[in-house]
Amino acid sequence: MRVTNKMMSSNVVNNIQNNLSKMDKTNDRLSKGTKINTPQDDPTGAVKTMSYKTTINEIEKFSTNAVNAKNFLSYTDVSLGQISDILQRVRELAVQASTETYEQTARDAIGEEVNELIDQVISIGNGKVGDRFIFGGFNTIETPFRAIRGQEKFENDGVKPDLIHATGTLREGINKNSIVEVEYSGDEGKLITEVDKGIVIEYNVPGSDIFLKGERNLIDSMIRLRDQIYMGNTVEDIAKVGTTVNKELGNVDKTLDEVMRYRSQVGARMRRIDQIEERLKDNKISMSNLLSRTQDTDITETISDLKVQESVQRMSLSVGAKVIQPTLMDFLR
Amino acid sequence: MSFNGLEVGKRSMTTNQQAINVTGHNISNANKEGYSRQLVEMNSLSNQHPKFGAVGIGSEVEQINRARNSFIDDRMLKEKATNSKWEAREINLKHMEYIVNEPSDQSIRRVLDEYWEAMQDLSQNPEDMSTRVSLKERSEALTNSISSTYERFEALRADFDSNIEVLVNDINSMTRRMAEINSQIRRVEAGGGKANDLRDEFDLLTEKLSEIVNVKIGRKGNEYTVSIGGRTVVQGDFSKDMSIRREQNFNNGFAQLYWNDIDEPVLIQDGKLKGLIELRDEDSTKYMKYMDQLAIGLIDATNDVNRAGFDYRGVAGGEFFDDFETLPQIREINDDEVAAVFKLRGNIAIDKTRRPLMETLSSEVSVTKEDGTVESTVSELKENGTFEINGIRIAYNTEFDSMERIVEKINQAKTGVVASIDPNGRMVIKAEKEEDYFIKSMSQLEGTLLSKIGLIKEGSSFDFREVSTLDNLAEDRKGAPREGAARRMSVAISNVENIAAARGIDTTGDGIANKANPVGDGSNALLMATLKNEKSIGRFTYEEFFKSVISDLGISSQEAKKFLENQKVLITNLEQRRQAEQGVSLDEEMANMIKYQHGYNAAARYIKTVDDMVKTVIEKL
Repeated sequence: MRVTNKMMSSNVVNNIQNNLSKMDKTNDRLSKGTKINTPQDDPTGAVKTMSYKTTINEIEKFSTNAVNAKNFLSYTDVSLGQISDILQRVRELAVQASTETYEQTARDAIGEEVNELIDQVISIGNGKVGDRFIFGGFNTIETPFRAIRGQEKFENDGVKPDLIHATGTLREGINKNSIVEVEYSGDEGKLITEVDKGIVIEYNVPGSDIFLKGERNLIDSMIRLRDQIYMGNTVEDIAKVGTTVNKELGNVDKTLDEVMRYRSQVGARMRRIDQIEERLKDNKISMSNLLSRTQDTDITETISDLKVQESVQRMSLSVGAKVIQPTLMDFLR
Repeated sequence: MSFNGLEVGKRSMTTNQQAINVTGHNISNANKEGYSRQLVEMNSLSNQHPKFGAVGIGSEVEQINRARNSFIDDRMLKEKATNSKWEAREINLKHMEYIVNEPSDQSIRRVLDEYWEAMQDLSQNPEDMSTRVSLKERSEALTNSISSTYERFEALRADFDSNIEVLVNDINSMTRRMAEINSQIRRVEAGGGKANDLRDEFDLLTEKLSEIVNVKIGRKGNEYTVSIGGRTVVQGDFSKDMSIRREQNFNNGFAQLYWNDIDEPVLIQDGKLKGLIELRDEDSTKYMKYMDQLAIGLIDATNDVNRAGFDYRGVAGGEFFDDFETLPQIREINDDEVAAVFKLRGNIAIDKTRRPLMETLSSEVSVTKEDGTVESTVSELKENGTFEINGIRIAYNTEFDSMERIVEKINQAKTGVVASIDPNGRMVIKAEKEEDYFIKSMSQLEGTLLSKIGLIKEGSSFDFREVSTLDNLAEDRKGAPREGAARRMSVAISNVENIAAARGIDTTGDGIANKANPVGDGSNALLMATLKNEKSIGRFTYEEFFKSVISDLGISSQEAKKFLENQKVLITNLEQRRQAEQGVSLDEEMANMIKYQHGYNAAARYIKTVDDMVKTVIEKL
């Protein structure tokens, strides 16, 4: 084959161009740290990269959802713990008050304390996480429990805040300042959040469930117990219809059991979230690994590639210098 | 003794002189693009001698030829056309990759991810205004991102169109110039010589033309013919122009190429022009349609959920995104009136997981008789049934299938429609993009499930070619979306309180929630957030959708890159072969120069000798 000057020079230029474009690509990979910078570089890899990134974003969101839900639940747990402490105290007090030999004044003091404890229960029921009331069901912006005191009840419904003592004496206005009824403005809504793809969990216990559910509910039991203490109904008399301190004590025990049941339910949910969180963490690590393996530049390999390309380039250049060397003209003198 | 010797010497000198001129011409054009080296063809002359026969009387230059291989030239024309087509594709597909900007963190996918996150945030804090505001901002970022991507593809498409127009002008001026050269060649060569440099110029122009469009060249005698797409465009000194035509109602009013004289479209098979036409009519349009598909899926699904929920004030939700514009449900396609329904919603709410369906959907039908008595019968759903959507049959069993399962069956059957159950428990059927967003047919072959759930009237069927059957479909239906839904996509919510984060309860018993839950309920927002993993874009989830779009783009771009690389190698190879044939080798020219110089010198020496001989005759005798 005939070889002409133009062929040789264009060959050299082509080769240098090719080498340079390869080096450019390698440099790009090194400086960006990723080997897939446009879908063209590796369509399947690019698609995988996208899906890993989306999954990682999603996992991060699920993790924050789980943390929020756990906060809510742990606050609920603490509240339930406080309530069960209160109920224990109420129990002790009731046992004391049921002692028949006690003076009524001593019982009244106990009644006062129970009264305080009812107030406390209600303030626990009105607890908040951030700006949200935890026991309001879906109604998270209004105070869920409103205490109605004897005086108010009298003004509204005409029910007098009086009680009749076991001895038959009228104790006028004794409940004037104590809570006789509780109004719940929340509902039974279950707050839900997504903690993993397709896994939706409830993270609240509506206050109505804990405090006001059923005939013998927590607040009513406490109110009735207090009233029995004020009324001094300590004597167990089968003939006599009605309740006594001891009977109400039994109800308080039952509600304590209920609270414990809710507490263990909350605990179980927290453990479930813990497990999910753990799994999310593992998933995130494995996704990040996969992402890095798919899109990140293998530095060692790429640098050695670059070195090879550099030496090829150097050779091309030196060949170029030789091509443009002597012609016949140099010898025709 | 005669003066013949002097004549021989003179001819020899002239021949060598001419040869050395050609060498000079070769040297000076060595680096000219498209130049083919010229060769001197010498001829020895002779006289008829009575005794010796032919007696040599020196030499002359017969003709000056160019070293050229037309086989390689023809190959080159073809490969150059293919090369420039892939070149155009490679550059512009790369550009499209930059528009979608994957797999970076500044893509629609990322903005969409952030939108889902904001939706999740809302589901956790629906009572918090700042969460609502941030969701609104994210939603606006999303609609901006979708519409600006659409607009970028649209602008790119318009660029392709104006480029095509420029190329057509280039083609016309090139073919005119070629016709001119053709006539010059004919005039020059009519005298018997060779128009080497003109032919070089012609060949170079053909090659440039072949980069734009597929060209065939014919060589007949001293004339070239050039044809494009099977039609001769340059013959003798005539050339034929092509022109641009735009029709408002055809292909977006883009340039169509027509022959000026016969009023027929130009057949374009290759070259940059073909590349640009493909990019304009197929690629960029395809990605614009993808964006539309994304917008339509997102708008429709989100609005359905938002409408089923309740806002901060307990009012039923409205549009979250501005709904897309729809085409009329009855319209003309190819001069035929057809019914085009994109979306159909049944009017009966069903518990989607409940089985058997038979009980859920059995209803009491009361018929008032002539005598005024009312007789009621229980209309039960038969156990086994079949219905047909877009010509594909789907069988069901009311004993075992729940509504959810039937929806799944429809979707698996690839009928061209996607079925789903809306948040209020009613079945929704939407036509897919591939079906131009309209439902083709629907009928019940056995059993009455479709009419029980209120999609179609009992005992009737729907066929899009018969407009009257449109009335058989459910009232709640929607026409196909107008093109450009992505460009017009915007957030409808102006007051963030109107985002329907809460669900409600049904107090009237029609399966549709009518009483709002209090503001702390974020379950409707959660439903909007979980649309992420639902098949809301035709048959696809968002992730599947982005995957298919990006792998589509990546693969075509990679293909273009590979084809271009191969084509470059092929062309370099051909160019090498051609240069081997026609290229000027300076060493060779130097050697020739010396050769001709010595020839010239020797001829001069010969003349001197003949002269001496003549002198001898004149002076010494």
